[in-house]
Amino acid sequence: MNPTLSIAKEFSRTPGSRYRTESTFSGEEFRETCLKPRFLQAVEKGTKLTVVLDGTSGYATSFLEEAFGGLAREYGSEKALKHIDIISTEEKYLKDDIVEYITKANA
Amino acid sequence: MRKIYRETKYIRHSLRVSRKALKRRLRKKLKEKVFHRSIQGKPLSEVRNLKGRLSSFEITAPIKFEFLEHPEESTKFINLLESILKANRRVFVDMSKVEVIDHGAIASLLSVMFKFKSRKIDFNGNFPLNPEAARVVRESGFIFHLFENNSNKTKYTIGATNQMLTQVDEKLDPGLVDIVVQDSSISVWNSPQSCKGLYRVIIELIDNTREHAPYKKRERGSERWWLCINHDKANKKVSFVFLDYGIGIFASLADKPADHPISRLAKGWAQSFGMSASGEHLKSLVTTKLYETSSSKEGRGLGIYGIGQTMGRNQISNLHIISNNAYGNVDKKQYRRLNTGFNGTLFYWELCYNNEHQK
Repeated sequence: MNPTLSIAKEFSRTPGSRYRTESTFSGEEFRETCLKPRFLQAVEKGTKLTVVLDGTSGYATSFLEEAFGGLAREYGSEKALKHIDIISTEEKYLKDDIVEYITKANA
Repeated sequence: MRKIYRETKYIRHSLRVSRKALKRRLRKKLKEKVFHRSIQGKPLSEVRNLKGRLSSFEITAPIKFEFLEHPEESTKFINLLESILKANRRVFVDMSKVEVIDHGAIASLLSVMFKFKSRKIDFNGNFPLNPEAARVVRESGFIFHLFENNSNKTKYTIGATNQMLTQVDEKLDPGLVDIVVQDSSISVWNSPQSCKGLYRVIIELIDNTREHAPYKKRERGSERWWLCINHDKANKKVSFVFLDYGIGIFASLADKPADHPISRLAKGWAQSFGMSASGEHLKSLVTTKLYETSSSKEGRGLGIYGIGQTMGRNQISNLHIISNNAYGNVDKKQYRRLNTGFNGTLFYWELCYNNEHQK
């Protein structure tokens, strides 16, 4: 079974904006403290990390772009897409948005 | 004998100067005479008020002081106030003739008067004579917010009808935004609901102010934002006004490098519509996903588009944007150029009963 990362349960129910300097629970903080370590574990084990977006108050585009686009900028879009799966039942369009952020991150 | 006392041209000059000085003295004397006659028999408090008004620059607010319906008149008035502020002059805001006023106008007036207060420049004013307009101003808490000691008002009182939040130079607290969203949903649907679009809009706007509004790039986070929240429980509607007095969307775009995609887009706008087509520029920003690098930073240009998306998904209603000399009613897809430029950015939107929400 693939490892799962729920943003609402493991990070915050109220995600903020892009950088740590701008807001609490920022995209940068999420990427560095939650997403990146779990992503690297998934890469090491050759599995996919399932990121669950449901259960929060909502997301700013800057948060999602910094978290997922930032990861892709560091490790490459291909690797990020290969090892990350997104689940978003409350806001279905977010999955497509995130895939786009990852794809275009180092285009 | 000195030259200035004997040569005709100098004598003529001196006579002209003294004639002008005499005229000024007589005018002042007459003004004082009229004023002193007018205060005869009046109570001391009224006399003080009149004296203060006499020494201030007096400006009259427009009869229809509405940013959404009459943006030009309202912008002109706010710009005049700003110019008085720049000149460090005392001001008296005469609102007596105002017949209609909206929350956008109140928020913008409050934000400018707040600058007078912070620069310790005296100001005064009166309430509209029209009872309905006066009620709107009183219920907005305008006076309370203006004379509040705390310059960063980030405490939201759950259940209060009209509130204003303002902040400068501090980290965004998403928890505060969450409380605003929850309380708004209670006003609309009678129970707390998840309104992800509303949450996104508020976070994006605060983020935009920090990122783009400051006059100097180095002073990031130095621009104050205002969020005015008005609950209309009877009509199951909450209206929001977000305002910042930064350089505005288009002025901030002008700072971009020539190879930046927005600059290329702006070049296209200029070719298609001419340089004055700011309404079309605004439309492009709301409907075009840019997603490109900006000054070597990647993944930018999504904020305003993201706000436009929430409108398209029916997560908010009646979105209006006014920035620099562009006006946009996103709901009705009406975009136009304003004859009077607005130094900043104003967003207005509503959360209504028919908007998308989750339990």
